[in-house]
Amino acid sequence: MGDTRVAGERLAFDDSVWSDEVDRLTRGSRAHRCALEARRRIGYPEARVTLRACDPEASDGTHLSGCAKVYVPLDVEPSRAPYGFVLALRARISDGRLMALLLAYGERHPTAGRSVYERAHKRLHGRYPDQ
Amino acid sequence: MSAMAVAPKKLVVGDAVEVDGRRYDVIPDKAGGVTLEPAITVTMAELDRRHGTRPATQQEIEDQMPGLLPPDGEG
Repeated sequence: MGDTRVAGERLAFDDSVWSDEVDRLTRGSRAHRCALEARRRIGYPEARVTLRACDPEASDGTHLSGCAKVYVPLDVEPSRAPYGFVLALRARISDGRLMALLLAYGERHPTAGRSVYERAHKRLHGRYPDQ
Repeated sequence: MSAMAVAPKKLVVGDAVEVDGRRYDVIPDKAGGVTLEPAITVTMAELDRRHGTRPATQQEIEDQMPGLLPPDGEG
């Protein structure tokens, strides 16, 4: 089986999105530290990243067609990764090259507040799934 | 001098408030009330404008990202 990972040069971490998603977290918290560590490891051109498609229509009401996710921390199996990046797969108008733009970062299954999938849904569609 | 009466503003879903320089959205708290969620300040349309991108077609995704793993239902 070939390498199923994607080159880090395909990823784009917009500063404003990073601020919305990561700067909101308590500095030094596990969620904050994991985000910084993951970006350090995947946010450069030569990195190799495992991307998995998001459910186009999930049971939580989110619609994330054309999106992918990265489980965080990077080295643990998905069921044990509490956080994730959600990225939108977009094509550059100039040359059609595929890019993955950061939409959201956060807890996958929070006990309070919005999940990373709900935040990604809002950035895509302008409202939360239950609004 | 008598104290001035101040009526606190009742927050409703859809409001946006600023606390210590950060914006928050007022959202339902799943218990019939409301809570604050850090605001999302940049839309997908704005990201497309900044990065010169558009939605990718399924064919473009399959052609250019053959390593993309399928959904796993993990959420």
